[in-house]
Amino acid sequence: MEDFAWLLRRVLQRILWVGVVAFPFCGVVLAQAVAVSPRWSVSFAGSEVITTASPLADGSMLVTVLPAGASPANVHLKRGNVDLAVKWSACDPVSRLVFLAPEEALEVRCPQWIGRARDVMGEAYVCSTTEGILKGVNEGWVKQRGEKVLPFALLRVSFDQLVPPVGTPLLDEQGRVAALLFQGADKGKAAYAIPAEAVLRVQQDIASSGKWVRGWLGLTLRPENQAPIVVKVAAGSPADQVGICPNDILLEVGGRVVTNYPDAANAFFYLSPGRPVRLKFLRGSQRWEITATPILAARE
Amino acid sequence: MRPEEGYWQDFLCDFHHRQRQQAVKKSGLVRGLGVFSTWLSDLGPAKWAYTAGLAYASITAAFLLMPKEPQMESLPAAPVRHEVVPAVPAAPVEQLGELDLRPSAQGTLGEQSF
Repeated sequence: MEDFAWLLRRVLQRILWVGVVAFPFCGVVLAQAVAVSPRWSVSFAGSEVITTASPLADGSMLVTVLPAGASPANVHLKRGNVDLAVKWSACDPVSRLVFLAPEEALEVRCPQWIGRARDVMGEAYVCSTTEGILKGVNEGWVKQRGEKVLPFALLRVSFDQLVPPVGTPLLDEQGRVAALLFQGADKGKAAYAIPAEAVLRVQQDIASSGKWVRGWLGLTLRPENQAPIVVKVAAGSPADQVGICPNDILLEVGGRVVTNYPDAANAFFYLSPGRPVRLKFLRGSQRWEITATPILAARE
Repeated sequence: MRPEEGYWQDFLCDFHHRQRQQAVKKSGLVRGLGVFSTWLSDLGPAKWAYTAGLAYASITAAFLLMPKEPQMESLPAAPVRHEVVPAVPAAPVEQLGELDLRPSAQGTLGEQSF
C-alpha cells in the first residue's frame, strides 16, 4: 500500500513538472498566434478574397499579400469588424506584398520575424485563423514551377485541416514568424508561403524609398543552363571590377549555396544596392572567393 | 727437416673440418643443385632420356593449363528495323519577373542579367 502511494505521488509530481514546463511554451506560441492574426483583415478592389494582415517586427506597418487579379489601389483595412483608415500603402509588384500603415497606432505586441530562413524540411508551423489554430509542415523550397523560374524561392507548406487565408503568418515553434501564406497550392491542403526574410528584404526598401530596388552585379546567366554558369559580364559593372569572367561557375552568393539557375535567381533577389556581398565561384578547377558591392539596377 | 709426428694427421683432420664447415655455409638451393648435378652425372647416358621425358611433361602441362578463349557462338544475321526520331527540343525556361503563379503568367526568355 505504501509502495502504491509512493508511486502515485511520483506520477503526480512528473505530471506537474511537465505541465510547468509545457504551459509557458504553449502559452507563448498561442499568444503570438493570437496576437498576429486574425485581428486585421484586408480587402482589395476587384477581388472577393479577404486577406490577413500581420504587424511587422518594428510595429511601424502591417503586411499582407495582394491576391491574384486584385488591384492594390483601393485597400480596405479592418480590425475585427471595425473599419480602419489607412494612412498610406505600398505594393511591391515583384513579391505582391502590400505594406500599409493605419492611421491609429497598432498597439500590439509585435512578433519577431526570422531574418534568415532555415532550410528545415519538416519544420512545424502554427497559425491562428477564425477556424481556430491550424498546424502546417514545411515541405521544402519551391524555386521553379514547370518551366518558369520564380523571382525568389517560396516555401511549400502542407496543413492538417484547412489552408489558412492569404497573408496569414506562419509561426515556428518559438512563436516567430517564419513565413507569410501566399496562396493555396494546386491540390490538397497545401499552400505556398513567402519566407519571412523576403518580406523583411522588401520592407527594408519600401520603408526607405517606397519600392523594392534590385541590387545589380552585372552578371548574365542563362536559365537553360543546368549549372549557374556566368555567360557574360557587363563591362565596368561591379562583377567586372572584381574580376569575374565568363564561364565562371557560381557556388555561393551572399552565404546562399547556389547549385543551379533557380538557386542563383533566388540568391540575387536578396542583394541590396551598396551592401557588399561575398561570392564564391569555380574557375577551371580552382575555387575563388571575392567581395563585390551591387549597385542600383538600371531598370529600377 | 721432417715434420713432427702426427702433423699430417692433424692437417688432414683440420682440412676435413674446414670442408664440412664450407659445405654447411652453402645455401640449400646450391646444395640441392650440387646434389642434383652429382646425381645426374652418375646416371650416365640415361640422363638424356630423363631430361627428354621431363621436357615433354612440362610442355604437355603448359598446353593443358593455358587459358582457352571463350567460345563465341555467332548468331545468324538478321535485318534490323530502325527509324530515326527527331530529338525533342528542350522546353525553354522562363524567368518570371513577378511572383505570379497562374499558368498564364509570362516570364522572359533568354539571358538574364543580375
